[in-house]
Parts: sequence; C-alpha cells; structure tokens
Amino acid sequence: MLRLKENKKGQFIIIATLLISIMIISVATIMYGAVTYFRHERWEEYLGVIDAIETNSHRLMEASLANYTLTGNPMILKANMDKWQRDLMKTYTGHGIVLRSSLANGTQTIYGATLQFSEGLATEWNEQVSFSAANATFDLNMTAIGLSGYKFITPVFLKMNITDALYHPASDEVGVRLIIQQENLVFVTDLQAANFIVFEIDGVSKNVTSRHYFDSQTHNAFIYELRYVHGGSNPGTLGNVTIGVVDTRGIKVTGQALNVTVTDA
Amino acid sequence: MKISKNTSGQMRVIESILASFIVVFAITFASTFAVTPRSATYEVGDLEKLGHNALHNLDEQRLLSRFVYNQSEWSTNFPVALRISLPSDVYFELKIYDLDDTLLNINVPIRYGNPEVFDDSASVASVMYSIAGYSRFDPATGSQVEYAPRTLILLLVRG
Repeated sequence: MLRLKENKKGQFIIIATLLISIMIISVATIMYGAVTYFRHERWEEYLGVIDAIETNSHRLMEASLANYTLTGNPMILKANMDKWQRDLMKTYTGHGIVLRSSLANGTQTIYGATLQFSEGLATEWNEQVSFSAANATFDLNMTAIGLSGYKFITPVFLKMNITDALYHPASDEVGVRLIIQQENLVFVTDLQAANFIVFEIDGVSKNVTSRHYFDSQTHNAFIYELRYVHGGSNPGTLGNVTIGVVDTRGIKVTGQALNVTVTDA
Repeated sequence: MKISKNTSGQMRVIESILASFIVVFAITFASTFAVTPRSATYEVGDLEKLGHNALHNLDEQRLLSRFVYNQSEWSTNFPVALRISLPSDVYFELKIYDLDDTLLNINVPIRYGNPEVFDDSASVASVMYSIAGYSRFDPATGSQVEYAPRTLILLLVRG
C-alpha cells in the first residue's frame, strides 16, 4: 500500500490524457464551427433572392420585348424596369435591395448581329435575316449582406433566317424553309403552324402547314418548313416571301426575302 | 505471493480506467455542443433550400408564371408540380400575394398535408419568391403580356 502511494510515475499518463482531451475538445469545437459556419449563415436565402431577381429581370425583358414587337411602344422596357426596381424595394423590405438598370443605346453587336438599340430595344425586320432584341445591364446592391455592384447582363434575342424553298412534286407543295434562333443562337424548336402569323407570297396570304426537322446536309440547323399548295410545276423562284413569327414568349419577328430559289425536293 | 506484491501493474490498470473516463467525459461534453443534421437548426435551413430550388426550377422552365397567373392551375397542376419537385415527406402550403399584400388564393389553398401540420411543427420553413409578370403566345388566345408582380410564400414542414 505504501508502495502504491509512492508510485507517482503513472500520474503523468492522467495528466497527459487530460491535456490531450482538452486539445481534442478545443480543436474539434473550432473545426466543427468552421465547417458548419456556412449553415448557420443566411447565404442560401440571399443567393435565392439574387437568383429570383436575376431570373425575373430576364423575364421582364422578354415581356417588354414582346410588348414592343406587338404594340410598338418604344418606352415599354424603361417603364417596366422603373416599376420593377421600385416594386423590388417594397417586396424585399429589410434586404436593402437597390437594382439599377442600364438600357442599351446606339449600335451594339449581339450574337453576331449589329443592331441599333433605343432604350434597350431593337428590331431589324423585313430582311432575309431579321431580328428582335433587347439588352440591358443590371447592377444589384443588397445592403443586408454588404453586397454591392453585382452586375448581370440579360440579352433577349430572336432571329429568323429565310433560307430557301423546296418543291414537292408528289403533293404539289412549295415549302419555304427558315431557321429560328434565340439567345446564344440556340435553335427554337417548339413552334407550331399557328406561331407563324403571317405567310405571304407576293402579298397574297397562304394557308400553310408546318414541318420541322434537323437538316444535317445543307444547313446543319433545325429547320421549319412552311408548306402551301402551289398548283402547278416548280415555280423556280418565289418573288417576295413575307413571314411573321411569334415565339412562345410572345416575341415577334417579321422577315422578307426576295427571289427565293425553289429546288426540287 | 510474488503476484500480489506487484502493485505497479495494478496502478497502470487504474490509470487506464481513469483515462478512459476522462476521454469519454470529454467526448460527451463536446457532443452536447454539436448540432446534428436532424436538429431543428438544420431542418429549417434544408427545407428552405428545397423550397427555393423547387420554385426556381419551375421558374426556369417557365412553368411558375403559367401556374401563378392562371387560377385554374391552382388546384390542379400547381400543387402536383410542387409535390413532384419536393420529397414525398415534405408538406407545403403556398400563398400568392399581390403588391398590396392581398392574399390572392385565399379561397383556393395550394397545399399538401393537413393545415394542423404547420401549427404543430416546431420547424416550419418559409421561402419568399418574387416574380415580375409573364409573356406568352397561345395559338388559341394569342399573345398575352403583363407586368403584374406577385410574391410567393412557400411554407414547408417535414412530415
């Protein structure tokens, strides 16, 4: 028993274990706090707000361009943006949101097309390759999280290219072919015959049926072919083809092509 | 007799037992500060992410404005789309407000789960999502374009 009391070497193990335990607790607490810090912050909520503002600013650009191409109101984008900026502050009260927009003005090149913008809007119609476009740069501040100067650009774009025409002897139909593209020159693939609101040959309206397919041989593009009954043989050329299309977003483009060559299908 | 006098080995055993107690106590003490993934602290955050992602995905697919601005969709396709977008054990209730804070779907609740679930649960997540308006072309009705901001409040509870 005396020897047991005097044996003090083992106490070092207890002290060492105690120190290691304190170290484990300290390091684990710091590490755990560091790893899970983001979960206690409201980043996701703020990112969600930014996402929603960015997406709906783009939607509003689309709606404004649709309105402009249908009604011709040149100030619609500016009016809508002013209201949107004011309403955002009201909706997200407490976030300190300030959204500013800079509408495109003058000559700008967008997706390879050089267009003349006025108050963020531009159209170049009645050409073989026709366009409708809107462009603006946004600047978002959110004082609640110290976010300042977050910029995003939301171009809206619709392009129609009247390429050529085919004559189908079996059905005696002429099919005018066109390519329609939107932002990033992505092919628009969800249009029906009803979306082509104008189809005229030399000023005469025609009833058309719509076919669409990917043409990998001549155009390497997604093609819409608008067919009408011709009544005769291959006409060789079509004098003046006018086509108006409204996409699913409500944006309109009117194109015109002269002397379109018709080849046998 | 020689074995009973060898007391230094017994001390090692006692030290080891004491050391084990210290380590176990340390781990137990540290675990009281841990917030486990199933705790209410995380639950609300995770549900908010789920809710926001569901609304944002619908918005990206141009379905959200179709549902919000078309009252006939409120009791049909809208709740179905949300149920598909969210896990099956998550109950939700969606409220649509206009700019004047008027609840538009007061007579047509867009809900999955009993209303009592939201009152009884300690972890109710709330997601706010704002949409500006809509523009679309329908072959039957023609073009429709309108600026009419709506604020969506999505309440979420895990069942």
